Amino acid sequence: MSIQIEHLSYAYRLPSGEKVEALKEITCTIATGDFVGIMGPTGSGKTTLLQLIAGLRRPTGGRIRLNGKDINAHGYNRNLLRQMVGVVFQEPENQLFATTVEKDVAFGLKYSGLSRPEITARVQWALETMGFDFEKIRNQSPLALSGGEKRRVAIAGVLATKPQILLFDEPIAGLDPYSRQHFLHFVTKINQAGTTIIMVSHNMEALAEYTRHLLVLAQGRLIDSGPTREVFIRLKQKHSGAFGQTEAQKITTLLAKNKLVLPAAVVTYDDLLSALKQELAGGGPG
Amino acid sequence: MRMLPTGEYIPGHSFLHRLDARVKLPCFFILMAAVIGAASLWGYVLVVAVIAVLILLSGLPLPAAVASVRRIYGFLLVIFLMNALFFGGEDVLASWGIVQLSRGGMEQGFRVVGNVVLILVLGNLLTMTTLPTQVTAALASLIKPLKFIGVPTEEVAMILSIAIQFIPTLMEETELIKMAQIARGARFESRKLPERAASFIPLVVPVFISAFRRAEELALAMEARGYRNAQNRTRRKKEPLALRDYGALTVCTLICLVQFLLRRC
Amino acid sequence: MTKMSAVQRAVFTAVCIGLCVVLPMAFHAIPNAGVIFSPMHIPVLLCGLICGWPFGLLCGLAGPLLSSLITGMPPMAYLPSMLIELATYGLVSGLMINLVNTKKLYADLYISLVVALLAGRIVAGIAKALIFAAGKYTLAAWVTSYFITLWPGLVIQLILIPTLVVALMKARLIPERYPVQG
Repeated sequence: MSIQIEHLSYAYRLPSGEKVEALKEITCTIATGDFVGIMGPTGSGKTTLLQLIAGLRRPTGGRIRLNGKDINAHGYNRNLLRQMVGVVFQEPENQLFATTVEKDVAFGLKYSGLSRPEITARVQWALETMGFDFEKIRNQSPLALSGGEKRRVAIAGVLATKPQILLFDEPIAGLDPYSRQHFLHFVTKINQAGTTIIMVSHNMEALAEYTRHLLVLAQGRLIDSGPTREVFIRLKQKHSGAFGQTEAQKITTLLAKNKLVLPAAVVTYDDLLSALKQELAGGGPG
Repeated sequence: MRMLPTGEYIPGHSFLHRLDARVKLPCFFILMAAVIGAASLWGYVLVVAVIAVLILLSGLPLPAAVASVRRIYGFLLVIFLMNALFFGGEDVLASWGIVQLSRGGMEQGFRVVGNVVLILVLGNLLTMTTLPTQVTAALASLIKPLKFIGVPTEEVAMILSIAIQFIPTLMEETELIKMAQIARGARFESRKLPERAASFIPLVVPVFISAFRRAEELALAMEARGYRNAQNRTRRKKEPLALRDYGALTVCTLICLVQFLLRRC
Repeated sequence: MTKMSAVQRAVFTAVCIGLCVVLPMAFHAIPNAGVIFSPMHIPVLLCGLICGWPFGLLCGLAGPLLSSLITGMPPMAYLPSMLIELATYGLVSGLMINLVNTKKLYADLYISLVVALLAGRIVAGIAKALIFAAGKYTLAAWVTSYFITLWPGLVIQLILIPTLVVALMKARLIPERYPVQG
């Protein structure tokens, strides 16, 4: 399920007549099974881009193709699109509404064509993937759960359709470090099983250590894209980290200011560690 | 489409923009009465002329001022037909069973549709030249006299201003929830009424839950900061009305009076 | 529902008024949604049921008024009859929920809703007949327009509102009406 984004634009008009261009001519390709991160300052259009890829908004220019087919073309199977693409928005626990956890998670499968027992099996699988004991949780009210449990139930609801593409909008914002780790771990597993993951995040470490490719948005434009490491290095070189740099990169800058210069290819903590070891062992590269 | 916290407001510096909202609201209702009171051709000429002048005074482009009229075009047609065909007035032109096309009905149809359109345009002129916060401040001022019959006007004013401040957040949340549920395959169709109603549950329940959650947080914060009742809140000093405000109020009242005098003729 | 503080009631009412403005806009984008029922009825009825009749009344008056002034929905021409109808909904639902005490949540809600909706329609119908279309309303037209359109609205509110009340109780945002003892 490759995603091709061609000259994608999205603009709208305010009541005063003023035109706002949320996205301008975005072009890129996301390969099947990739783990892509999207980063950029607030207001750069990241959420809008996710909404467009999920087919929740129509572009005002350009097109989005899934496996070569334009998703906004007349006759494209919208029902199928909903099953194939799963979106987890910010604070997904806000979407919960049903009387039992089982019913909420099963919601997305209503038009899937699966039989009742198949649906129950899927719901069980989704909840167990999110770390729940199915029998214990299935009849509880989703609204009465704790914050963390709610979030996991909401994500289970999206997983239940077994989407081939999963979109996450700031999934770890506001989570404690343990939950963050847990989530990234789970996403990696899903990705390894073949699901394409696109994750919007402000967390540089999460992006640096887990994603394979990065898209950098600013003011609606795609200002950089490519393999994660290279993008971080270029961002630092060209914009001195204005669009985001990892803690390891910041430390490298600080050390350089104090006359300890490490190679520019330091992006993650591991890079930092090996560079420091090299420095301490014999001083200087090579 | 995205709604700003300013609703339909279009920024500007026209005469209408500069009028105090405390005068614009009553003037609107006075002019609305003038429209409803139009009973003859001259009566309508008067109100149409007044509205034309107001559109000029607002600095708004004509398409903007009449935009919402185009949107309800179908609705207006239905109203006209209902009056024309079912009025049962004199001068029947044709009839098929209970359906009677009458001249009286058509006149009535034009009148009703005309009233709706004119009031709509008046309403647009009001909403496009007044910020929502100005509207609530004006409402709060205007209900002050009700204090004498025991209405807790300060509390009402506070509730209104909190409501206004919540609107942009509620708007955003609702949009997000709608999209999230559509992304999960929610559909809001269905033949059978109960099913149709139930299909809105995934939209309505989360919206209310998140709205009430924010409300609860605010209430707790207010109580924690020693809030007890609305009377003790510090208030901003009210600006006095300007000459143009008094002028506008007088002119509108005169127009209304003229309209009712015209009815006598 | 009587255990909420005055501040809580005030802020909940504010949020319901806000929703009176926001919901019609959200539903506007969904085809056929606003035609069968006015989404504004929901926050008003809920406000009356949860916060009591004074707040329900305020919500029924302020909701449509602010919505009309800010978003232009409903159009000003329909505002007066909507004001009367919704104010009655808020008032009566608040009064009824205090009077009724069947020890069963759903029964209390259904009774209060049915009475409130009937009362609202009747009062608005009378007002329309007397004030707005003086003399021109025939009995047949009045009965037709009010009771035939009442039925779908009633069904929808009876489905949605109890669901909302239960959801809010489960989320512990409003106190349980009949708390389970022990």
